Amino acid sequence: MSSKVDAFQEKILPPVMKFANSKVIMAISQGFMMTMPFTLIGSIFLLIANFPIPAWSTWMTNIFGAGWAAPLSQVSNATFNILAIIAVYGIASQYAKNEGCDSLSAGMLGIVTFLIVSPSYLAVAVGDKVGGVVMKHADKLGNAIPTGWTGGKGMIAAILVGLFVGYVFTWFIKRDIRVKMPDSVPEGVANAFSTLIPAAVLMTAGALVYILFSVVSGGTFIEWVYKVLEIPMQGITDSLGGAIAIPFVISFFWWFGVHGAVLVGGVMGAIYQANDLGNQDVIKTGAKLVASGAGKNAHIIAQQFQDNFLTMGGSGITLGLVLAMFLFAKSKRLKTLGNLALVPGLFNINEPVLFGFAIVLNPFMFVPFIIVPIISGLLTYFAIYSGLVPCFTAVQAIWTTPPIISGLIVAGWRGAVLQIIIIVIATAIYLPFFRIQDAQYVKEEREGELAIESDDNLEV
Amino acid sequence: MKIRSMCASLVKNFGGAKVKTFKLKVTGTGNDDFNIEYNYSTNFGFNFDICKYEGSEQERYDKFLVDLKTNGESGPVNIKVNMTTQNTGRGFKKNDILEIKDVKDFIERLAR
Repeated sequence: MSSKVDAFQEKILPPVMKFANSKVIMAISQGFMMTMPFTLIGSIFLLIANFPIPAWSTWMTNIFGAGWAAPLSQVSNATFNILAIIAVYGIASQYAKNEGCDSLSAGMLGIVTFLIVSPSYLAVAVGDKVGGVVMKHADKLGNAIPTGWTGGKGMIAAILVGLFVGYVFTWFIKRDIRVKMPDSVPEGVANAFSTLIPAAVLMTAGALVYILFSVVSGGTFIEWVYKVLEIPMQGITDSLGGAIAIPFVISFFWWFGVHGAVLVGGVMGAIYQANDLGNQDVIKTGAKLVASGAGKNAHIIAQQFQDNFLTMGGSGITLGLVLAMFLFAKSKRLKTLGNLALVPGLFNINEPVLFGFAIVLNPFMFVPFIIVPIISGLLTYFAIYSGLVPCFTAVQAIWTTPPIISGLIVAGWRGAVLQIIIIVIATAIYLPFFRIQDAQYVKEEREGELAIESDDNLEV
Repeated sequence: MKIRSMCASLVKNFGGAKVKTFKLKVTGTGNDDFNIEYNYSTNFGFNFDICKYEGSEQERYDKFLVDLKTNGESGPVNIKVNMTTQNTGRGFKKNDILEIKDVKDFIERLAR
């Protein structure tokens, strides 16, 4: 095993690390983090407006009237409907920041360029209501920013635009191709003038792209990216293969000492959000989410899939191991570790277990650490696929939310029950491996005590 | 006189120091501009204190290597990376770190 581990670390890990630490992936993963507070807080408002207990809605209506949910929807719409804009700002600005350039200007240029290559009209159909007026024929209302393309559907385009803007902006600044101001000018003013040349280039490029796509396809770049890239990417990852590959990759790389959840989250974050928002758009139309069969209109693999079902207790679903330690440990070491790790584990923090037990680079724990999340991924996928557990929507629970509570929030009581089942299975799988490790520690502790006792009895 | 028992007791209670779990936090902009914060824990990594090494980055790294060899537990070392050139956390085996004598080589190794 040791030679295989060394071979993997020497041959496979370096290109993986090169990929993970590339300017592109770093900008995407760090930039995407900017969307997190908005999705989480927006989720709270969405959850309150759509609490899965009918009596709640009735009670609120009785107190506040029929339109009680409108202000809450206003907040959640204002967050989810502009996630692509936040993402493009985050990615462009982070790219520039990592290159040591002005991140604010790069981020703003990202937003402007994104809007240049987006539709600037709202398509309305017969029967649609616009400003209280029912449309009698289809039309395009100009001077509008349609939120349909600034949310989930614009995610992949936001990544492409953000990276392009970040690269071009820093290319100009690092080569000093900019309008230079005297040193006495305040930094903010100097930065604004420095942005003029890259801004002119980027906006011109955006305009040319807009012209190209409107002539060639009659649409825009954003719409083209959605059809050609985003939908296929969602399809590939939102599958049984994805349900197996995602937990496998997280645990596999973590075992080799590379933060697997960050690695996967950085790559998959945009797809997760696009899937969540896609599901939310279906709900807005009044339709029910269907995960399989002829009427399939929903995605299964989303942010909640990873945060709340693949990494309960932390990567590897080590909550099962912690419970085994807490309940059954006989060695002092694992009794102490189990007691200390229980509360953090309930909040999905498990670094002390990964490095203290240890799981990282411990050949003995490789099998359960990989298998448990894969089983969880399969169970969750099939539970949603079969309709036993509802599909995820835009309602998210931060990854540190304890299991059962997070299940309730993102998928109702069925989600909570599924989490309990997964935790029980995880504990059962970790148990035999834990017992062997525990017995080893008991033996070492006994030998250590015997050695000290025999020393105590010696006299000079 | 129980000389061996005194020694055994010293080893049991101190061993030079309690067994330490280390966590490193690496920040900076590249191989020539970085800072490593060394932290240790004596309770499996639930609470950390800062290691008070002083000197240049190489000198501090040298002291860390000595501390790791003498007092570090046998498990992997947790390394948090938050640089502009790399930001993926790593876990390295104790012996692998002890083989890296140059701190700049250590930083390069984090990216591989």
